[in-house]
Amino acid sequence: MKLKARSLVLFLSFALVCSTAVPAHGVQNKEGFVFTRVDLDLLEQCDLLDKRLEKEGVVYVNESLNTYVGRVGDSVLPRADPPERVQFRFRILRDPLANAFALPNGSIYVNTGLLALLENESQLAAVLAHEVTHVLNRHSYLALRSYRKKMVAINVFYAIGVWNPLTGALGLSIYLLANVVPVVLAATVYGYSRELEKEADLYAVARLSESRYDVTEIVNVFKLLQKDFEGDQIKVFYNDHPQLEERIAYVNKVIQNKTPKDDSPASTDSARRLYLTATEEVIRHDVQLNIDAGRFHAAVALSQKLVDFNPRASENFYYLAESYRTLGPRAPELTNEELTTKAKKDARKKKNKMTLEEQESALMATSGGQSNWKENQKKAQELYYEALELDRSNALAHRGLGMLLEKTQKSQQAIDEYRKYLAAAPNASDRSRIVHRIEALEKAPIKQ
Amino acid sequence: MKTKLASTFSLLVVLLLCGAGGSAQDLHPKLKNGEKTVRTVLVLPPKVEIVRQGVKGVEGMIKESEEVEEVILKMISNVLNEKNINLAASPFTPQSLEANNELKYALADIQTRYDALLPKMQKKSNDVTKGRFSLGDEVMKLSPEGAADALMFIRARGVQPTTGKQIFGVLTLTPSFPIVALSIGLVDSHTGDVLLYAKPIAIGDAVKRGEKVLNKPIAKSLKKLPIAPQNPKKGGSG
Repeated sequence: MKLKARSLVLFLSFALVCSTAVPAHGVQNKEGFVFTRVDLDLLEQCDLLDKRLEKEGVVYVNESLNTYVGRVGDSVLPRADPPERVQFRFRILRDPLANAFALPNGSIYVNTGLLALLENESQLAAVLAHEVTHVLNRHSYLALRSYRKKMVAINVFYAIGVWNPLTGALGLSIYLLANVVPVVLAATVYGYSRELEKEADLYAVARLSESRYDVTEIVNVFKLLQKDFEGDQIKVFYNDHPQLEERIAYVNKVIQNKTPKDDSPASTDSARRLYLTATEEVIRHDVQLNIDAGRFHAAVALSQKLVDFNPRASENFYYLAESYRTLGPRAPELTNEELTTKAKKDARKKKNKMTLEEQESALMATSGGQSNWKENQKKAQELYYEALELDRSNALAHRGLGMLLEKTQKSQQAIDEYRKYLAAAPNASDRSRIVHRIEALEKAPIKQ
Repeated sequence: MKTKLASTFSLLVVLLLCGAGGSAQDLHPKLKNGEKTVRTVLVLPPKVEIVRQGVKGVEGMIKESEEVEEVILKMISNVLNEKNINLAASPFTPQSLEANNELKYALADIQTRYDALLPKMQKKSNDVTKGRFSLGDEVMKLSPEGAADALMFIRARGVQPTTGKQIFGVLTLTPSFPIVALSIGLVDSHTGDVLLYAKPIAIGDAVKRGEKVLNKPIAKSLKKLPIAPQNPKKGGSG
């Protein structure tokens, strides 16, 4: 009876492996890609995901920026018609992490965090060309097929482990194999394979070489991605993307004979200015997202970039002031010791355990935290005044100043700033919140 | 083998117990001692993610998840009605969100803030009783003019095993069954303090038999939520 059951499991497992090896009833198109039922299901899910992301407010809507990103994206597309069941659309996702991804239906998403990190249009073109390759070469479908086969294999090995009929040394080795192989397979399941990522990098090199963009900027994208503002880039034993150093090496090898389009300082600066002019607004939006996500070091770095680029914009000073105010008892930059793998792991554990308020309280209990807090609040106050110097009607600067003064227990001054905010922005969405704060401050004994 | 059988059996018993009634729920001291009264609740759009799990892996079920969202909203609304708690008219209709990006972003940002706090609450849900968790007064953006006393955040994640997976589960002594794990958070609309946190678990096919599967666990998970006192002034803050 036991033997029968074991044979049945092994037979079923074998049947499952075979079933994944043969494509389901599919339709072959002119590029030779056969759509299976599973591929079509994935496509349907992706269309629904597009709608869901939009509905949930995570897609950033800004007509001029969307047109700009769309124009750069279109310029790295091949001249031929898009492949079957693909409609290229370039979208911006409200996410402060530096990332981009492509859905097999042609929707390409670039995070605000990545747009804020990049320095020029060639870099954006490189990112989009990379993502376009994933769509053109049907990487999502291939990754899904590979995932499904691996899952079957994991289950087969698991079944063998459960029903292992042998004992002794052979039995032990089957047991070990059955338990280790699923772990290894599971580790390779997530994301595209490193080969597919490399293919996308090399396609981006080819596309940029043919275009008006500077192909050498691809390497600079990888270098920018190495920036670890928050100390949250922790290496794991397996990553879908090849390590950045490895990517820099193989891309450098391919582009070594190619010269930059024009690397004179004037041209480099002009390319940077053009890009930052187009993206200034979304960088501000990303600074706010970073603050909301507790990524204060990134917020300081990005808003400093804004102020350096356009020191005449009151809004840029406001965002830098906000970044320093919310930085609280933290230092503006992480030290080298804080960027070691061990320190990063410890910091992650702490972040997972404590709320932001608890982390701040713990830091405030230290002398270093106290002195950082004083310096950051002083710097923030100066920056709010600079913002107001540039534009007296900057309502947000009054609100920020009010919050800073409230925290430093200057109640009457805080009330004054809040009132100025309400007068300058009578229809503000957070009006009730500020009125509530004024009422609470008025009830409390006045401190100066 | 015996150990494996025993552990599978105990897991089943625990899950069944959770589904049958023992769903955790924690109340903020202010809500527990009556200092804060909840008469009107604004239920924010739930986030539901149900996936189909087969022997060949996991597939998304976005459309079905949206259908389950509707059922959950209906069940929640029934429970709140039974407790004399009014439902504030949602400003987040598809039309209003479509027309107002700022409103859409404000909602998304508060939802993200809640999601960032969620793992900590899940780990130490008992700390809700100590008043440890808060989203801050920024939540007032979602309920201006005190339209509601509290905001409700709903999350659900579920698995729908295919028939193949269920058979495979029986053969490998790791039974698979449809299950939905919910989490419900009630947040003070002025201070952002988490007033109630519950983690009901529903065992059964929530996609096909939504109401039947979800009704009991949701009702039980909000059992401790105090009944609102009769008040002629609707929508008043407690």
